[in-house]
Amino acid sequence: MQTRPSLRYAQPVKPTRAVAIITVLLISGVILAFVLGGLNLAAQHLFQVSALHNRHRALCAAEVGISKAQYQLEQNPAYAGPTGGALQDGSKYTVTIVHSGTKATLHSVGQTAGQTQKLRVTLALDADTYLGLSSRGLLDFRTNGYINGIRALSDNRSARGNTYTQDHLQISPGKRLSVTGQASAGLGINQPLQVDGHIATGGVTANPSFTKSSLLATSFPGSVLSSGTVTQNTRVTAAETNLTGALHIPAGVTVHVEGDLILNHGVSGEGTLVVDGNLLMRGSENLRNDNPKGLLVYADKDIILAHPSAYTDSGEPNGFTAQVSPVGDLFADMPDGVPYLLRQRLPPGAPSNVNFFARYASQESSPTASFTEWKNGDGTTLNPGLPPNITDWLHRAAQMHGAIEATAGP
Amino acid sequence: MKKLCKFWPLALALIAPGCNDSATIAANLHLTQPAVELAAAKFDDPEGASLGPTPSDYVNNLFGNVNPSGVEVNVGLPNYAYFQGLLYSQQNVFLAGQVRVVGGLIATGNVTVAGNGMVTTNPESQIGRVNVGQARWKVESWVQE
Repeated sequence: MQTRPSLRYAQPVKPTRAVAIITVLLISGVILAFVLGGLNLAAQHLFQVSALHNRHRALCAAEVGISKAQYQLEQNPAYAGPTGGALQDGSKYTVTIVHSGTKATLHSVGQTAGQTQKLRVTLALDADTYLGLSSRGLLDFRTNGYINGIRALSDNRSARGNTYTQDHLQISPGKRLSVTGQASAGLGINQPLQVDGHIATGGVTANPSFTKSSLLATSFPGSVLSSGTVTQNTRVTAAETNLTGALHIPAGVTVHVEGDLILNHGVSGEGTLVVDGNLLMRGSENLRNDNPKGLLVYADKDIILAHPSAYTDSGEPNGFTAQVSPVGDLFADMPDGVPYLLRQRLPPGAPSNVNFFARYASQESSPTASFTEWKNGDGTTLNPGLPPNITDWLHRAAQMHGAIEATAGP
Repeated sequence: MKKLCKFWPLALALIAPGCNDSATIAANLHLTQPAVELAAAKFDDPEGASLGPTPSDYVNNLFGNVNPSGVEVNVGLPNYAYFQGLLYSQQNVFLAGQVRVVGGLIATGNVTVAGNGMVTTNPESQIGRVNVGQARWKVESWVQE
C-alpha cells in the first residue's frame, strides 16, 4: 500500500527560484526608483521650465517698458517718467528715467510670477531732432555759411545740422552754404548749395516751448545789472544798458532788460536773458565747458551777434567789417572724416602735428609709394584710399600750410 | 576803409559819397533801422580783445596731442567767436563775422549771415526749450542686470 508523503517532509524551495524572486524584487525596486527619480526630475524640470518661462516673460515686460518709455521720449525729449503698465499675460513693468545732458538712462523692471528682470538702457538724443537755424523770414547768406551739429559739448563728434525757413533761402553768388543735414525753404532756394544731407521744400519752423510771459513768471529782486556773474533775478528798466565786461547768467537766474542791451564782451551761462529792445552782443572768445546747455536768450526786437573784430562801416556792402581768417574757414569746412584720419590713420612717417600739412604738400609734388597707397589705396575694396572730399580738403590745407603754421602752430 | 563811413542820417550820407545811410543798411541787412543805428553807435570799433581759443590747441587736438577734457575739439575753431545756447528773436537776427552759435537760432523775422557764420546744433541747448514732433534717440548701451 502506497502512503502519502508527509508534509513534514515537504521539499524546501529550490535556490534558483529564490534567486529569481529576489531578482524580480530588486529589478522592481530599481524600476520604481527610476520611475520616482524620473518623476522627481520631471517635476524639477517642469519647475525650471516654468521659472525660465516666467523670467522670459519678465524680460519681455521689461523690454516693453523700454519701448514705451522710448516712445514717450520721442514725443517729448524732456519726458521724465516714471512709466508703468501691464501686459495681457499679467506681467508688469516699471521704468524710471534719469536725464543727464543729452542722455537718458532708462531703468526698466519687469515682473511676473515672482520673477524679476532688469534692464538698463542709455539713449542719446540726436542733434537731428532739432533745427539748428529756423526762420519765418528770409535766410540770407552773404558769405559762406555753415550749418552743422555736435552730439553735445562734452562729446563734440559731428552730427547732422538742419535749417528751415518758411520764406526763401538765399545765397550770394559765388558763396557756399554747407549743411550737414537737411536744408529746406518754403518758398525755394535761389542758389545751389552744398548739402551733405539733402534738400527739401517742406517743413515746419521750430516750436519753442516757452513764451515771454512764461520766462518772466518769476520775481525780480535785483534792479542793477553789471558785468560779471549775476546772482539773482534782475530786472533793468533803463532804456539802454551797456556792459563793457563779460556777463555770466548761471542756471536758474533770469535777467530782464526792458530797453536795449549791448554786451561788448559776450554773455555765457545757462540762465535766461529776456530783452524787450534790441540786443547787440559780441561773441565770446572761448567756449565754457561748465555751461553745456548754454543760455536761453529771448529778444522782442533784433539780435546782432558780432565777432569781436567786427565794427560798423556803412561803406561796406554788408554794413560791417570783420576780420575773417581763411584758416578758420578752412577748418570750419573740414569734412567729418578728417579728425579720425589725422588721429588714427596718418601715412607712414608723417608728423602728427601741424607740420603734417607741409609734409602732405611735399608728398603731393613728389609722392612716395607708401603715401600714394595711403592716399589712393591699392585698388582693392579693402583699401579704396581716401574719399574725394577728404583729399580735396587736404589739398586745400596743404596749399595753406604756411598760414596754418602761422596762425595755428605751436 | 575803417570809420570813414558812418551810419549817418540820410541828409549827411548824401554828402559822403559811397556811404550808406542807416535806412539803406537796415534794408540791405534785413534789420530794423533802430537796431542798425544802435550798432553804429555802439559797435563802431572792434572789441580788440584776444580772438578765439589758443590756436595751437585746436590743431594739436585734431592730432590727438591734447587732453580732450581740457580743450574742445572742433568747436574751438581758429578765430571763431561763440555764443552758447538758444537765441530767439521776435524779429531779425544778424551774424557779423566768424561767429558760431553752438545751440540753436530761431527767428520770427529774417536771418542774415555775413562773414562765414556758423550755426551748430547742440541738442543739449534745445532739450526742454523747443517742442518737437518726433525726437530721434540713439541707443548707446543696453545692459541686462
